[in-house]
Amino acid sequence: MEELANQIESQVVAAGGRLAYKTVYETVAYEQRQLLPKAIKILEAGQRVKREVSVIDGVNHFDLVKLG
Amino acid sequence: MSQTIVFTIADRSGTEAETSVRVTSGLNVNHYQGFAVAFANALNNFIYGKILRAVCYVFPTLAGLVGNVATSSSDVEHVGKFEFLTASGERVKCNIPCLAEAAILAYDSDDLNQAEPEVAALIAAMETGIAVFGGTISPCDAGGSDIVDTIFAREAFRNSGSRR
Repeated sequence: MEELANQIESQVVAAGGRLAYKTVYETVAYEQRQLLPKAIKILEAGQRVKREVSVIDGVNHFDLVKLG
Repeated sequence: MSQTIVFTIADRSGTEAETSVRVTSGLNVNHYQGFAVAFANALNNFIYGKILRAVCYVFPTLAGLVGNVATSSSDVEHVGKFEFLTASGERVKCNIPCLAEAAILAYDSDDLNQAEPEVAALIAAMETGIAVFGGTISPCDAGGSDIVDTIFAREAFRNSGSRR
């Protein structure tokens, strides 16, 4: 789980600090997809990454954002 | 479009009745708050009953929603049942009709796929709020405590009371 959390954090950092959740979902291994919610909760608890739902020009965006 | 403010009035026996007034839209919450109090005062001056509460219904426009169409697979009896936990330990329930098949985890389970992007986005909106112009709006319980976790997300079937 920690490994997946680190992988997600690395992806977000590599993307400049903001990455669409859908991209992360499609990138992780199929058998690890169900672990995504828990891995993201670990990142949020550690103030490393947060989830953000926003509206830009009338379109919803669901991103993972690097903190700190 | 106008907004509606509904006043609930009770008599001595505790029986309740409502009266409502439509008001112009385009103002902010503080304006409607001020109007509601002033109008309640005006009502209070010539009724015997007790004004229990006032509720302001705001009608946001959904005209800009993309892909807002009821497909042939839509069914209000097919529901996504969500239960959330708030920071104060209270539970918030949310039932969403016309569930899409893509949200379901597997055919031998009633669990929804919480990792699936569309479901995850809804859960994130409930748990962390939505960033809008001027701040973040966060769903909460009746006491104003923020939702912090998802207890379960399942599919269910509920009778709508009408023949399908």
